[in-house]
Amino acid sequence: MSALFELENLRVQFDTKRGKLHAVRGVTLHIAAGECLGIVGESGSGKTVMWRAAMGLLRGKKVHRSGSVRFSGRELLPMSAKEVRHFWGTEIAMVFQDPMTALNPVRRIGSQFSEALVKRLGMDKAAANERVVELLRLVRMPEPEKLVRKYPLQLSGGMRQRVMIAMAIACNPKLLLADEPTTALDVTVQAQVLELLSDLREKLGMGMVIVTHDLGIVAGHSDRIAVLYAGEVVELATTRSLFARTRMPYTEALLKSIPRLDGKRGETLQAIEGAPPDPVAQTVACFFAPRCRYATEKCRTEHPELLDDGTGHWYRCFYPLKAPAQ
Amino acid sequence: MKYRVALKNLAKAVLVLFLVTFSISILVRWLPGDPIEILMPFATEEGRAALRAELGLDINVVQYYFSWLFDLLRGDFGVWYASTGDGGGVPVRSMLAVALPRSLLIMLYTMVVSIVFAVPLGIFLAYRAETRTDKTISNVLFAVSSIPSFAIGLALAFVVGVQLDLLPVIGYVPFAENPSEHFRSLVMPVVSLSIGLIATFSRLLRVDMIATLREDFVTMASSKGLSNMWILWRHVLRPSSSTLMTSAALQMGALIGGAVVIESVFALNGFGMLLTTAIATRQYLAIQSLVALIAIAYIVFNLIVDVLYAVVDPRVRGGRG
Amino acid sequence: MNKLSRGNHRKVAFVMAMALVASLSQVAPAAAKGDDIVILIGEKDSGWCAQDSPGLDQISAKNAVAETLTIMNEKGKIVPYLAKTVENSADFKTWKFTLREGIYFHDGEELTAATVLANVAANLGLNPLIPASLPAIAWQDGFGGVTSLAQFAAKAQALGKYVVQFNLPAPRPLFNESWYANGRPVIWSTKTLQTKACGTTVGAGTGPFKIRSKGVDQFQTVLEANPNYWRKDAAGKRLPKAATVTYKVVLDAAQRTNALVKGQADIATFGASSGPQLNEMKKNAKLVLFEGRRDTTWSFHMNTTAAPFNSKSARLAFSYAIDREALAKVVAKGNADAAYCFGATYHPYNLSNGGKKKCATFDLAKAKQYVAAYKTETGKDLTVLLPTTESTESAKANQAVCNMLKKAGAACSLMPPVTATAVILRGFALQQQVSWFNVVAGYSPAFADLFSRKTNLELSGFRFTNPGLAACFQTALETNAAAKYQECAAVLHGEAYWVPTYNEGGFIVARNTVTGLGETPLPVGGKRPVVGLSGFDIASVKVSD
Ligand SMILES: Nc1ncnc2c1ncn2[C@@H]1O[C@H](COP(=O)(O)OP(=O)(O)OP(=O)(O)O)[C@@H](O)[C@H]1O
Ligand code: SF4
Ligand SMILES: [Mg+2]
Repeated sequence: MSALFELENLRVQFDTKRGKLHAVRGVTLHIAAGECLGIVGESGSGKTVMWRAAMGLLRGKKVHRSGSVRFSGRELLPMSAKEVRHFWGTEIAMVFQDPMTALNPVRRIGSQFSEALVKRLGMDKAAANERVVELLRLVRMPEPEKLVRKYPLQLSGGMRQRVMIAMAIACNPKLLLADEPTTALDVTVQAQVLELLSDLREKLGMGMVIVTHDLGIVAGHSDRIAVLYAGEVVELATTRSLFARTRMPYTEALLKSIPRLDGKRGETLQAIEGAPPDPVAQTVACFFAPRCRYATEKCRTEHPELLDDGTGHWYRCFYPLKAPAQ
Repeated sequence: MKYRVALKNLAKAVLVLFLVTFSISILVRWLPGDPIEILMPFATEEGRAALRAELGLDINVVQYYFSWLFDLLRGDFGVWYASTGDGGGVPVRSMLAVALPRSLLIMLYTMVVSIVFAVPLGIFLAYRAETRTDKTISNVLFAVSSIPSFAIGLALAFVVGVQLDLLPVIGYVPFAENPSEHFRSLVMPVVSLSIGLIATFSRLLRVDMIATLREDFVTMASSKGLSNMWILWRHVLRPSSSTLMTSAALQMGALIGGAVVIESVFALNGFGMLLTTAIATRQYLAIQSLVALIAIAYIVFNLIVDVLYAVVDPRVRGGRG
Repeated sequence: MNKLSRGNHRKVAFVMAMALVASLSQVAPAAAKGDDIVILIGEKDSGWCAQDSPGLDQISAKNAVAETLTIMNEKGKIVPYLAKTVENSADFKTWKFTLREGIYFHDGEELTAATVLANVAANLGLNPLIPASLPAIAWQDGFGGVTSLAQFAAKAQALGKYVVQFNLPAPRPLFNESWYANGRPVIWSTKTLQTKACGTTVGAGTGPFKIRSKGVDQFQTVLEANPNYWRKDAAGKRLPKAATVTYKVVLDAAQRTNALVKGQADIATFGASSGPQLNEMKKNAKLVLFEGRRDTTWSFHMNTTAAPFNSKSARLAFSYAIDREALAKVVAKGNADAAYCFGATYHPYNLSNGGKKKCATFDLAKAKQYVAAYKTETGKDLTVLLPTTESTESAKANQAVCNMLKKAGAACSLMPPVTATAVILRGFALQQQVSWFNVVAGYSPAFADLFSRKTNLELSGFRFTNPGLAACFQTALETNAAAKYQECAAVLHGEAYWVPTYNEGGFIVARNTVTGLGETPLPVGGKRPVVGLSGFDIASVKVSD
C-alpha cells in the first residue's frame, strides 16, 4: 500500500516570550489510503500543532516548520498558503474538536455548508443545496431540509459535530483529520459519532486520522495507533499490538487511566502523576523519566530512539515492557 | 419571541424618550435668567403675561410638559420667536422642513461613504494585522481621526473647489431641484465628515476582526479551502461588526445635530445650525423640540441598529429570547 | 466561472467610478450673471424687526427692502432720505419731518405721516392695532419718558398727510440721527406692522427690492426688484438695476473668499478679522476691494452684574492685559487699527480727542497688579471664560486674548461654540462674562450712547455699577456738549466698562464684473459711502457678463 500522507521528521517550533517552544520534535508517520490512524497523547503533547502544521494551517513569522510532509507524493511544507489551499477540503479535510466554536455562529448551516461545494467544486447553488441535504442525510441528521435554515446555535452538540463531519466530507477528501472529534460530546453521543466516522470511512474509502487524548476512543476504530508524548512519537503499532503488547511505560500508564465502562463503581481512576516536560526547556533525558516508575540513571542522561521490535511495533524506551508471549 | 423582544425594546425606547424630554422641560426651567426678560426685554406687563402663558411658565412643569408633548405629537414644534413673542415668529416645523432633510441626507451619505470605505480597510488591516503595512496604516488612521473635519473641509474646498475648480465650495442644492448638483454640492462636506469616521470605524473593525480571526470557525473555514477574501468577508466580518454598528448608531445621532461646523463651512445650514441658532437666540420652545428630536434620532438609530444587529448576528436573537 | 463574473463586476464598478468622476468634474456653474446678484454675508438672519439687532450684514440686506427717514451720506453727514426735509426748533425739542410724496410700499400703501406714526407706535410697543406687540426699542432714543399711549399721542402727531412732528420731553440734538441709527429704524408698511412679522418672513418696505423668500431658511434671503422704486439713477433711469438679489449666509470667511474667487458669488462682505483672506484677495485681479472708514470699534463689554467683572480690579486687569497692537495684527493682519479709546479719533467720546490721553493701554505690570488686587479682594483667582462663535477667526482672536490674560496671571479658557449642554449648564445669557461687541460709532455719539447704556438686548440687563454714569450720558446727549462727552467717557474708561481693542471699517469685495457699487445718487445730492455703516447701496448694482 503506498502512503497517502507522509510526515518525515516534522518539527514545529514557536517563538515565544520565554524562548523557543518545541511543540513537535521530529515526527515521522505515514497513513495509507483508506487507513485509520489514531493519534493519542496528553493535552499539550503537540497533537493539534502537528496536524495543523502539516496541513499548512499553522504558519507565520513565529512558527518554524521543518522536515517533510508529503501528500500523494507532493511536498506540502514549502507551499504557499494559496497553493496548499487547493488540497484543503478536496484532498484533506478536518473535523474540529469543539463543534460549538468551529461552526460560524452567524451563518445558516445551509450557507456555510454549500459555500465549499460552490467555491471548490464549482456546483451551482441549487445542486449544492441538494447535495447538502444528501450529505446531511448521510450523517443521519433528521429533517435535513429544515436543518439548513437553522443556525448552529439551534442544534445540540452531537448534531453540530455531525454537521461538521458532513461538511468535512462534502468535497470527497481522500484524508479526514479529526482532531478530538468527540471530546466535547457526552459519552453516548461520542460512540455514535465514532460509529459514524468509521462508517463513512468505509463507505467513502477515505484515510482517516483520529486525534484524541483518550486511548479508549480509538481502540475500536483505528487500524494503527501512534502515542505522542512531548512532541515525539513514543509508541507506534497496530491497534491490536498496542493493546496486547504494550511496550512503552507511558502507554501503560495511559491505559491505566482509561475509565473502564465495565469498571466497578468507586474504582478510582489512576491518572498519571506529575506533568509533561516544559516544551521550552531543552533536555537530553527521556522526556518521560521524571514520571516513569522504571526510570534509571541512563533514562535521565540519554534520550531513547524510536525502535522497531521486529514486528512493526515501535517504541521509544531503554527498558520496554515485556511483551507477553504470543 | 422575536416580537416580544422588539416590543420590549420599543417600550424601553418610549420610556427613555419620556425621560429625556421631561428632563429637558425641567432643565429649561432651571436655567438661570427669566426667559421673558431675554426674549422680550422691553415688553409691557400684558406682553410678558402673554409670552409667559405661551411658554407655559404660568402652569406647573408637568402640565407644561404634557401640553408641549401633545403639541409635539400633533406635529407642532413650537414657534420660532422673532422677538415679538406673540405669534410674530415662524413655526419651528417649517424651519425643520428646510433643515432636517439636509441633515438626514448628509448623515445618510456620510454613513454610507464611511462604511463603504471603512469596512474593506478594516478587513485589510485585520488581515495584515501586526505587519508593517498594518502598523503604518493604523498609525496614519489614528492621526487622521484626530484631524478636525472642518480642517479637512477647508483644505478640500481650497484644493478641489478653488484650485482644481471641480466642485462648488458653498451651498446646498435639493435633490428634487437638480440631482447631479445635489450630489456635487455634498461631495466635499460628506468627504470631510467621512474621513475621520472611516479612520475610526476601520480601526474598530480591525480590532474586532483580529479577535474573530482567532476563532475556530475561521480555521475551519480555511480548512475547507476557501479563499482568504471569502473567509474575511463572509465569515469574519459579520460576527465582528457589533462595535462598529454600535459606534455607527451613535455617530448617526451625533451627525444630526453635530455637523454644525461642516454645515457652517459649506453653508449647508442643516439641523445643527438650526439648533445653535436656537440656542444663541434663546428659542426656548424650539430648543426643547429640537433636542427632543435629537433624542428621538438617537433612540431610533439605536433601535435600527439593534434590529440590524439581530439580523446580522442570530446569537443576539437567541440570547435575548 | 467565478473568476469571470468577478471580472465583470470589476469592469462595471470601474465604469461607474469613471462616470461619477466625469459627472463631478463638470465645471461648476458660475453664479447667475446679469440680473441676478449673489451676495455672501457672514451673519445669520435673526430677524429684521426694529427691536432685533441685526449686524451690518443683515442690515444691508434689510435696507435693500426697507428704508429710513434719514441717512448718512458719503461725508458722514445725516441727510433726509424718505423725509424730504427735517427741521428742528432751537431747543431741540420739536422736530418736524416732511415726507417725500409719491413713495409707495411694496404692498401698495403710500408712505404718509400715518405710516410713520404707526411705526413709531409699534416701536414703542404702543401700537393701538396690536397692543404690546413690538416692545419699545432703544434705536430711537429720544422718546425717553414716554410710557403710555396717551403720552405718545401728545408727543408725536401728524401735521398733514406728509408731515410728522415730534414734541420731545427733553432736548435731543441728535434726533435726526436717531432716525438713521445705522439703518435700523426702517419704516415698514402699516400692514407689515399688523402682520406682526415685521420682516421675519414677510415685510413691505419702500426699498429697491422686495422680499421673495426669507425667514424659514435663516441662511438665505432672496429679494426681487421693486418695479415702482422711487429713486432714479444719475441718468434719471429706473432703479434697481438687478432683477434679483440673493443674500447667502456663509459664516466662514475663507469659504466666502473661495466662493467669490470661483464665481459662485458676485459680492461678499468681510470684517477686518478676515485679514488673511483680505490680503489674499487684494492680490487677485478679478476682485475689487472696498474698505469703509475705520469707525467701528471692537470692544469687550463686561458683565458687571456678576463675578468676576462686578469687580473694578478685574475689569482693569482685563483692560491692561490686552496688547491692542498685537491683537489688531493677529486678528486683522494690517486691516485694522489698534484702539485705545472708545470710537475713532474724531469721535466725541474719544479721550485723546480732548488732548488728554487717558485711555486704557496695554501695561502688563499694571495688569498683574490688578490680578493680584482681585485676589486680595475676593480671595479668588481671576478666571475668564471667553465666548467664541462658530467662526475660526473668533476662536483665533479669543485665543490671542486668552494668552494675553494668562501672561498677566489670570486664568482664561475659551468657551466652545455654544453647545446644548453648555447652555443647559450655564444658562443662556449668564454664560457670558464678557462679550465681543462691535460699536459702530461714526461721528455721532448717539449710537454709541445706546450701547453704553442700553445693551441689555444682547446681554440681558448689564448695567453700570456706577450710578452716575447713566445720568452723565443722559446729560451729554441732551446738551451734545463735547466736555460732557469727555467727562462720561473718562469714567467709562477709568472703570473699564469697555475694553476697546481695534477699529475697523467693513470690507466689501466684489468680482470685477460687478458695476455700480456706491453710484446711486441720494435725493438731496451726494451719495452713500460705498461701504457705509448700514452696508452698501444695492440699487444701482449690476453684474456685467
Ligand atoms: N500558536 C502557538 N504559539 C505558541 N505555542 C503554541 C501555539 N499553539 C500551541 N502551542 C503550544 O504547543 C504545545 C502543543 O500544543 P497542542 O495544541 O498541539 O497540544 P494538544 O496535544 O493538541 O493538546 P490538547 O489535547 O489540549 O488539544 C503546547 O505547549 C502549546 O502551548
Ligand atoms: S526510557 Fe526510561 S524513563 Fe523513559 S520511558 Fe523508558 S524506562 Fe521510562
Ligand atoms: Mg489539540
